[in-house]
Amino acid sequence: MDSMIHTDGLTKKYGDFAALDHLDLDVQKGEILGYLGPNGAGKTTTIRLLLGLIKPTGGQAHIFGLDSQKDKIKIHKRLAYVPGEAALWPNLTGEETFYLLGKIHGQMDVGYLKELTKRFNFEPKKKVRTYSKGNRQKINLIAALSTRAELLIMDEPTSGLDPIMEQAFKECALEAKANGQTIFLSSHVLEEVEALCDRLAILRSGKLVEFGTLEEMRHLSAVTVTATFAGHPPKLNHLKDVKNIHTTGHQVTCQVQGDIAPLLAILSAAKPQTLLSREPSLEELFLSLYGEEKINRAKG
Amino acid sequence: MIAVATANHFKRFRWPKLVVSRFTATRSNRSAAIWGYVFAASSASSIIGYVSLYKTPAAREQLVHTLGSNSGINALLGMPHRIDTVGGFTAWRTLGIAMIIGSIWGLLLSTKTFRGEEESGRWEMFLTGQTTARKGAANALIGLLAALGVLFIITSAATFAAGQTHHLHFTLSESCFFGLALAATAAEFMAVGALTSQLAPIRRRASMYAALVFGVSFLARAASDASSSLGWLINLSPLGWIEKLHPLRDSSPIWLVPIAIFCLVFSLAAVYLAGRRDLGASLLADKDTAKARRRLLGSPLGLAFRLEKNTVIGWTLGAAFVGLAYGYIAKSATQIIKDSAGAGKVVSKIAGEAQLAGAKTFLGILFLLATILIMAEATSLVGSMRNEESQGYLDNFLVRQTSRLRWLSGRLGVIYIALTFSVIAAAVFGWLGEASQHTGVSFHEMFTAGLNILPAEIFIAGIGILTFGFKPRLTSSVMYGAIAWSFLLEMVGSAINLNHYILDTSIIHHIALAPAVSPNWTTGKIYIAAGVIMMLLGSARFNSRDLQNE
Repeated sequence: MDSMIHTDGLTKKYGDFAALDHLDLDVQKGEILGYLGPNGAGKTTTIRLLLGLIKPTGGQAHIFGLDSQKDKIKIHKRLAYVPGEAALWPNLTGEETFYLLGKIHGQMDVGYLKELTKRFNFEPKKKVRTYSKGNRQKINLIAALSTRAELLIMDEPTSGLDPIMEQAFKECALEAKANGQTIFLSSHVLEEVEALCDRLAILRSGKLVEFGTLEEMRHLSAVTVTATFAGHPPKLNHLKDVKNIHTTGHQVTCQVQGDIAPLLAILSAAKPQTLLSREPSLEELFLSLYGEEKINRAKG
Repeated sequence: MIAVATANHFKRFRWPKLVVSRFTATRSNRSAAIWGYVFAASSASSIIGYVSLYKTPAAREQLVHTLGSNSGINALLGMPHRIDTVGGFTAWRTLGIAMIIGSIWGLLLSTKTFRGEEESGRWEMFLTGQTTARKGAANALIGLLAALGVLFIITSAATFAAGQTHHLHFTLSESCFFGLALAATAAEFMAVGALTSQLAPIRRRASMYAALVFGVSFLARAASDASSSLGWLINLSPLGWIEKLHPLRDSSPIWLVPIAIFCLVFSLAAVYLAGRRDLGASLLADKDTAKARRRLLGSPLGLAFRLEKNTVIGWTLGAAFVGLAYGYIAKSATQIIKDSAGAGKVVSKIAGEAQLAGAKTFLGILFLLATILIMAEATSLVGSMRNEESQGYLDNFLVRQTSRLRWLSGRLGVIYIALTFSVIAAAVFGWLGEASQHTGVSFHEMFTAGLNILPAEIFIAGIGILTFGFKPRLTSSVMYGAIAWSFLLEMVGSAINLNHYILDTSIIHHIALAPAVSPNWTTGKIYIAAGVIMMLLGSARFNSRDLQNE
């Protein structure tokens, strides 16, 4: 597959503070990459570096094989960007804004624009200053999607949208993927990322801490096991891969990371009435990573 | 886990209902202090200059004779009152400046506080606290009053101190009355701005309405002071009431009554209307929908023209008006200058090297005033360019097929074209004004005099673009600072014999007083070259630096 975005040691420092620290990332053609991280992790900094709005203090980024700083215009011809906060001219109408943004971009599928306007239930005759936050965000989304650009870079694209519109966005994103477009999706909505993304990159304090598919990441995290017994549950404390053991009456819940066989052997021997195992959700993965950071901060 | 606040962790803040007042005062105090120091400097320098220049009764009598009947200067700074005394001269000169600067500062600060905060969404946060729309508006007015208090204290203290050091014995109450008069100029238009913020849906329009009130007030006051037949107009102008206070000499506190009533009525109306309307709405409703007009939306340059169109038209009309008004009164002013034996000397103090007293000298002063006005336009336009970056609008271009230099060249094109329009408007309408009175200055001379000030505008724009490139957040401050400094030096430098090295730092000081003298094109070329170099340096830096949002 072709690499659409490739960063190599991409770094942005403000004085001693590293907003982004040696980011190595590769986004393949046709995939949706979820870009996650807590507030201030460096997600927007990454996007602004990729778009050439700010300059790296180290490393480099290539989009479509072109240098993101030197070949900005060539790159921008082929991508569309959805910002997290819609800074649009308050006295233009929605329709005028679409026209302006389309003209500046250089291409727009007018038929698709009309279709998107209907799908997002958007009224384009109003002036931008009268729109709600969600409606202003729809302008950014519709303008970007209607370009049919090869690469869509989105920074919190569903910010301010209601659940119905979030669903409309998901459908559009999947259609774009089906059309061979690539999406770089920075989001806080884990359910949205889990539903859409092929791979995930998780950023923490400016550093990439996890990168891979959700399945690969799940293997890194603990599996939750819950078992119910007729009598007292067996003791599990001596098992080295088992942690967070909670016993309530006849039920025991624990997490296992590593070899699950010793745990299953003990539970089976105790003849469980029910036995459930569950892989971690993205939210649990995210919280476990973020939780470590909070613990480290507290220690620091 | 849910954290539970315990008694010893729970902090109650004092006076939560006054948070808007404190917030407004904190945000306004700095600019109030800056203008307080500017007025204080003007007041102190007037005292020092007068004492050193006009030592004898004869010199003072000549000053009265010259300035007292110069309708042009009267129209600009107000009718001189007892300028044969230090107090009278100081009050006339400083109030004359404050009536323009203080009023504009007051209205801009007020519309920023009311409509600006509402537009940004911050007002909403206040209204979800322990206040209502009416109480919030009243609190904001109290905050502005506190800022005026800062200005009042600085100007009163400086005047009192300067008076003591020169054995003039201004009493504390006289100095305070002078400070009150200065603060009152801003107070009047703060009240106007508060009201227009309730009427207009966006800050820019609220400022425009308030500026209109200011313009009418200024015109009424200027017409009254320039022509004895229109003397009654002064009683209708809020700025006229300020002039009639006559602080520091023969004070008339009675004129505080209409000023107080004016401020109170406008403030109460603003508070009342704030409670009548919905948040974000305005009494002069604007259409929420509009038919799409795609004209000028095809490029960043076109959009820049479209966005700045009204601003450019407004400034051009302003320059045209100044030209027309001063051109119209040039002949009468000339007659006064011709009749006065010492007038040439005094005018030459104002006009630097110009030795020709007469209409051309007066028109030369007109062009100096137009220079300052158009410099303010340059600041407004460069500031607007910075606003596109700070508010994130620029991102929309740069993430598409627009390079930074393409966007910048569009904006610069608008700025330079607008400045040229204003210069031409001042010259052409100045000619129309003076030609209507058969003053005798040719169109060619007036047009050349207009072109003479263009290099200084390119220079100040260059300063702005250089700052925009290197220190974008300081763009407007540096430009306004340069203009205020130049203006102050011109005002002060004409009264006291300032060191020429200091005078040379004034941008205006190097402009030849055309049409009284031939334009100094060498100076013009230097200004243009320096302006272009600064523009190129600023542009290059902008092209390589990170974007900086607010």
